[in-house]
Amino acid sequence: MSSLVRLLLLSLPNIGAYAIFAIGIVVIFRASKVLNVAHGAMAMVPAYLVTWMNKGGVPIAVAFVLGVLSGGLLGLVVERLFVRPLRQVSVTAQTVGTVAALGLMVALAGKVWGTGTEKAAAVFPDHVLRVGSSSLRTGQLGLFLVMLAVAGGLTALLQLTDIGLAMRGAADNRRAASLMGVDPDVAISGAWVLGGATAAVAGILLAAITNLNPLTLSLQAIPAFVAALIGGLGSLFGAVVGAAIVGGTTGLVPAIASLQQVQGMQQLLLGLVALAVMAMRGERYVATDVRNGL
Amino acid sequence: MKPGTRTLLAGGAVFAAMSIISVQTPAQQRLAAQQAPSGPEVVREEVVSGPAAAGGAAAGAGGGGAGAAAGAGARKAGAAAGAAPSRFQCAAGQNGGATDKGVSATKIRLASTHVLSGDGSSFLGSSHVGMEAVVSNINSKGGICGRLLDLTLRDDGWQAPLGASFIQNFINDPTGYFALPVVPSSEGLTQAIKSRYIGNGKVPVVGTDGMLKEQYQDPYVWPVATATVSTMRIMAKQAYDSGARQFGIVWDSRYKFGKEGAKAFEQYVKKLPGAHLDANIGIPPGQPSYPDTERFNADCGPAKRCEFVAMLLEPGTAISWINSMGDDSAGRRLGFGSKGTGGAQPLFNAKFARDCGEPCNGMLLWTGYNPPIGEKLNLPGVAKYVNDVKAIDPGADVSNQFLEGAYLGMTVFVEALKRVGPELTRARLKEVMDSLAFQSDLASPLTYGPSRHYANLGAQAFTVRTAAGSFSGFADAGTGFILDPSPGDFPSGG
Repeated sequence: MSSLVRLLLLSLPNIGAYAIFAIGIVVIFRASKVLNVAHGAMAMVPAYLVTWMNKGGVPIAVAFVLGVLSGGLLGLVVERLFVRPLRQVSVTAQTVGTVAALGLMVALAGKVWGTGTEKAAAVFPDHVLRVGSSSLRTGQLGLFLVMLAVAGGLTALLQLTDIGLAMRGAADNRRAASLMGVDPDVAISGAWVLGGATAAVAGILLAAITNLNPLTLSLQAIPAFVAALIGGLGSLFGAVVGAAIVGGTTGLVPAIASLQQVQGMQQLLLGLVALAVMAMRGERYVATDVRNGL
Repeated sequence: MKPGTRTLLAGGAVFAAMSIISVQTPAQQRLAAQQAPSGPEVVREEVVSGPAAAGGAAAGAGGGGAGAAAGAGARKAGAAAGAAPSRFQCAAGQNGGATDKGVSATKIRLASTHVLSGDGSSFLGSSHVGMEAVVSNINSKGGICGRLLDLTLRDDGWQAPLGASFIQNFINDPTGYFALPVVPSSEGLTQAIKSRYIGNGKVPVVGTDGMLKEQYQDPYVWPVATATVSTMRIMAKQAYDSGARQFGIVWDSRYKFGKEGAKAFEQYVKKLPGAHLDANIGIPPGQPSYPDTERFNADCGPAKRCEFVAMLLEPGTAISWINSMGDDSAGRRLGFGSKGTGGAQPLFNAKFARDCGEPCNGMLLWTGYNPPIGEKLNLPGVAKYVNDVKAIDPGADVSNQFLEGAYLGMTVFVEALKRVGPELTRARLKEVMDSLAFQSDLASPLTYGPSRHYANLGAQAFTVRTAAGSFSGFADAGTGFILDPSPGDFPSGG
């Protein structure tokens, strides 16, 4: 197995984690035009709930499903309490509302479960796969495979069903959607439920292979914002590609001999790649805006 | 509701949420309950033993001035060492009242940042228990010269900007804090030192165990910990003396302790005849996976295993790193040295050893203190540390070396307050600290001077032991305290 392939394989957990976060961010952004800063916290709370339920004797499969449902509910609550009341102000105000939600959830989780670091419930049975001189665990591979399933399922839902059409319609033009019989508020709430459930999947699986900590887990979504931005914030496929760029860039740097000893090279390269991609996408936005104007 | 009002409400909610993050731990709640009966008004005439107690006497009698500074090994020997004669008595109602900012007749207000959340909480999270144990002890005896210690703690999540901001607020607080003891959250303190909040405010920061180099160079900071740079050189020296020549290191690239420790390790190994650093890898904490293991193993892996590997990581990242490693043909986990593996003080706690299990069997963990392990537990000072901490939090991991460091740091601070006596001012505290010689069972003797704040120069190793694949305890590796081969050398960079 070549070094490049090995590094790509070892990067899959990073790509999976960033992608599944980015998908949720994009689903919410497409429907409401709000960049959900609370996405990481919406992942963290269900992860704690699942571990708490599992410690209480609830089988992990049941706890996982309940955790994902709680994530959907959390998405709805955040939208109703922190975003919708600010809709008439501006999109920026709604984004500030999600910052408030982030702070509140981190604080409450600290109050309820403590601010220290804990071991989370494992979702997959622990087996080790050898990749070169390194290891991949089933939980890490599971995260990547679940991401593919979530991306495929959500793409089908949004592109092939009336629900997806309603969500896209409400996002593009609320008034036109209303005239077509779609309640835009319900459509937007639906997107937040989906986004919350996606965040929950990410949080539960990510905590299982790292650690549970209110602040740290909530901040794990930050690279996913870069991935979503690279992907254009409007496309699930773009989000996955963005995550592959983010995860792949950081993972492949060790393969480049001349860059190995340069401190901070992974972060620097990532920043440069993100800037380059967004600069190119920026031109397309201008063209789109022109077409919309016409 | 007007749209603008909603925006303001949302912004307000952010600040409200942030303020809630400052959580009162169960230990803090217990401490509050214990202290409640005594209350701030309870004072006794003669409250402390040793020189300060003489305090009164010492202070009243003029103490003996700077020349009476306790000599090395003269534990609690010098009465009011370094302090000028006082007009007041070390007793309630006669202590001079508000002698400086944050000091009143009945109270000394203190503040510190610590780490209850984020990456650092796994090893710094219990430091407050060590501080509270000392405070509780002193306050139960009526305080110092009739003044109770009133300690305010803020959780900064080991985030430099937030920690520095808290410290700036402490310094600018209109009601005033007298000093900052221990300050377990090193990242914020370092930022505050660099921003000159400490120097400009002339606020004493006594007994820090954060180990970063700025703390050893600031005239207002007196650490009790062995610096990270010293520990890394000592680790390399011990490995070299044991025959290791091929070295490797993996370090935390996000936090400062990793960067400066790795730099010191690299510089020292390069000076050792015949030694070379084959792998030098910085990794960020908290990643879902670490492809960097391939890069490490290419230089230090199965083909040419390094003889010594240093791990300068926080515990969660170290576990992820170790779990990302494969095994060699003999079934031994890669990422460890063939002749030894050393872990810096952040890994010296039972949770890390338990989580690591079999792969960490035989790993040496380094500390600048005497932990309650093996015969060290029989030392009276170490036994007292264990008892005092257990009285505050029975479940505390007393082998955590940052907890012990916080206890020692607070003890040194209290000792300095005693030596200053009733006329308590920041200037007098600085004078005392700059001539303090403190000896205890918890560490090697700490001797400070005006331009010498790196008082703890040694570190010793303890071995992680496993049985049937699980952590079974620590054992004294028998190295004793090894002195830093380049004391006071703080390499630039890192």
